[in-house]
Amino acid sequence: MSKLKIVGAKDDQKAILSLLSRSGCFEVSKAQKASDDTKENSTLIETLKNKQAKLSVAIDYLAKLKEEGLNANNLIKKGKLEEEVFELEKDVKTFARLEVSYNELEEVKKSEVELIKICDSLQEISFSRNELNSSIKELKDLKAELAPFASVTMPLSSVGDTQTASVLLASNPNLSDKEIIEKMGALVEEYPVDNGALWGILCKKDDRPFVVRKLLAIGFEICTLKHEKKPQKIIDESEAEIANLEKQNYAKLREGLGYINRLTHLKALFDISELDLEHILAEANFSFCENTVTIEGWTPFNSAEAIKDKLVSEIKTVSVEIGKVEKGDEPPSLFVNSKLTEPFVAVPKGYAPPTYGELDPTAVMSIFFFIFFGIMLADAGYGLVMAIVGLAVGLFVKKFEVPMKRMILMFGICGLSGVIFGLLFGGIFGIEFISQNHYLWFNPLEEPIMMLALSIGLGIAHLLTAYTLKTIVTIREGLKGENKKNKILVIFHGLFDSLFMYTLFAGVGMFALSMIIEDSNFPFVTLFIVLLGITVLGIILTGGRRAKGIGGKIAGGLGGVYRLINVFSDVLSYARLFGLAIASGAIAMAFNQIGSLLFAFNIPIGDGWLIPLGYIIGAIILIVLHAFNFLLSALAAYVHNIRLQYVEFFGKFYDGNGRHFEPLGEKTKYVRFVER
Amino acid sequence: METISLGVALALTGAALAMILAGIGSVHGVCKIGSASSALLAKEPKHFSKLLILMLLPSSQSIYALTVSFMVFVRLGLLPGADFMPINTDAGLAILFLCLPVGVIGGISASLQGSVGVNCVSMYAKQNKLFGNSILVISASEVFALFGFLISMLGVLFLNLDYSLVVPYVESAPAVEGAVACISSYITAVC
Repeated sequence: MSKLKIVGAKDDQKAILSLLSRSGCFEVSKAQKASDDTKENSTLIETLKNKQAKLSVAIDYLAKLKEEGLNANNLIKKGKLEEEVFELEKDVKTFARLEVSYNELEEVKKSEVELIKICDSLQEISFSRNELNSSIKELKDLKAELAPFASVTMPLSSVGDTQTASVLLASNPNLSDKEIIEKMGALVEEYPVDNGALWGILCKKDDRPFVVRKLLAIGFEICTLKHEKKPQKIIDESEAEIANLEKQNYAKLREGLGYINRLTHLKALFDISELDLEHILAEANFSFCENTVTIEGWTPFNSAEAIKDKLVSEIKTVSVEIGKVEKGDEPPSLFVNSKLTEPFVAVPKGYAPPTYGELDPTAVMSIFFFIFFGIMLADAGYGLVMAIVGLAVGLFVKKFEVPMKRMILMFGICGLSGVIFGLLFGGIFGIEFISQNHYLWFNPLEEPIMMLALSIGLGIAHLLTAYTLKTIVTIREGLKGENKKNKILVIFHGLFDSLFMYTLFAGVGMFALSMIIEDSNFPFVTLFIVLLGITVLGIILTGGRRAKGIGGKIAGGLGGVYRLINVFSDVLSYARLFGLAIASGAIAMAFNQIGSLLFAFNIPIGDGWLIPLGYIIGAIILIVLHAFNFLLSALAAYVHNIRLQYVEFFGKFYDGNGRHFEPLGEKTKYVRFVER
Repeated sequence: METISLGVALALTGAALAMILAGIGSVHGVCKIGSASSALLAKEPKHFSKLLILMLLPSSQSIYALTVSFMVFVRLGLLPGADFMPINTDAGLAILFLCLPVGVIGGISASLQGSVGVNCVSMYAKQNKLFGNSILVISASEVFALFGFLISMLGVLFLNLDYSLVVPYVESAPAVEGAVACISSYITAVC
């Protein structure tokens, strides 16, 4: 990182900031003591936020309108709706923000007033459509209420009680037995209706509550409506009204959709406000004199000169100073990797951003990540599918943002690893090659001990790499420090971080060899004991070297020995490579057996011909089952791989106390501003 | 395959038990963290990939148990192409008990790991920066499952089954006889 110090006229502040965000690689450094927001600024912030709220409501509403329009188009196509087709393009699924050039940005800025007006009219449309929809709903409810009594040929208000008798209109489509009601002591008259029975019931006024209760209990609907017009007439009228309102509704929809071509501009305006907001918030970290403003920030080494040139050439009255990182600074960190290891950046990034200047573990980690993934997937077929899809999508499909693209590429590369180890272990879609020995190295199911040894061995290599990196980190950090006299001490410091791990594992290796090679005169066991002794003694002597005081040193040494237990648990943790490798292979084999069972169910039609029904069904089921196993093993391989890196690997040497480089102009929501 | 002896049955019971116990623990742990994560996911779906990693951490224990169970199969020669090993009751019982560390400790640690994981999810929700730490915190309880795994694995791997075949099954255990002799000589000495 280079430190940029930009001094310019206050009037040029806006121009400077927009140039900086346009460069896409400048982060404003946090001031020691940020100045408070001025009153002017807080009103500005509020206005911008209000504008954004308005825009985002409009954007969401337009998206909703578009959806409704597309639904309506479907109805029109099926002939269920008489309207003109809405001119809409189907959404193209993208996973990236839209790209908007800076020229377009200027145009959008110019048409801001118009765009805000669009927001207002969209809001109006939304209000009136809500009203229309609620009136339509009211009318529909009324219609539904009246439907059972549609065939009554007089206004419902004229159905009423006399002095002593009560008249009820009731309907029950499921019941056509008069007697039930007559038993209640009421007179019944039946009217023929399309949708069931409609009954006129005459009872004594005193009996009314009793009759009503009984009727409701057996599922009758009793008419309580008192409309002045005949039911059928009301229904007809409301139908006409609904049609009318719906027409108006669609007209409004069409009006709203008229703005759909401005959607991109609305989104761009939202993000322009976001940039403005960012600039205003950044202001708290600037220092001001009467007429000048000083902006300090970070930029990657290779873009510092470019930014300086651009600023100086475009704004005449500005001075730019490129400085180096000094003690006490807290610059952000940016991962810089080669093309091959770049896809793996997401892994350390997900753990924690490295402290500035800390060793970037991506390159070393990616080698192990690659190998482990292949072992855990352990199937050339799955690996091939993954590699083809991942590499093809990652390299040639443009509509992903960078982090997503990296992830896909990473899976593609790891798929290749799956192919390699699948071939080594003889696993291709779990097809059993055991009897034919179609493997290049060995079969994990046949020689599980070998597989376990391989896993543990790779684990030890992984751990030793981590300890070695720790040594490198310690020496690097130590040499960076002021006190150059103690160079040798620093080197020893570093060496002691990993040396005894080497002796330990060498000893364990001797022990393992003594068990493998039985009749040998080589003193494996003696060497094992000697190396173990050196390890324990060494750790007791050096473990507390960083602690102060004799007590601390002794405690540190003993603590170091105690921590050897953790080393063993770390090593064992690599047994998951073994477990997942055989799990994915064994499950694939089991699925194949299910599939081959189905292959037998074919229908013979004579002459040695048969309808290959079993083959077809079996193939379909096999594809589904293998897809399932593929997803599951890929997921497990990914997650457990990450766990090995995070817990066993990074834990040894990687600090991750930094923060990511977050340049101005990157935090947009809908669109990405690009140079074109 | 020859007829299954009681020893083989006991050993297989052990393999099954290890898988069952550790599996139950893992299911419990994963589900706990899963439901805690889904609450966070509803608000911020972008954290899915990280929460997935947290969620699947308690599955390690089942992998350990799976490995041990598989090793039992290997030792018994159940896999295709291997020679079946009809072990006796003593060996079977030994394997059954050797399977328990990974099953019991694994199961309990996976389940409790789930509880830790729930808290770690809320920690992560509050401070996204602490993701790496939360993984370390969750993994801490797994060390003990690993110890259990170590003992089960080493035992199952190195138990000398041939030896147990050679030694005939004895009705009264020699240890008991020895103890009785010891005690009686002690009593006579005291008297």
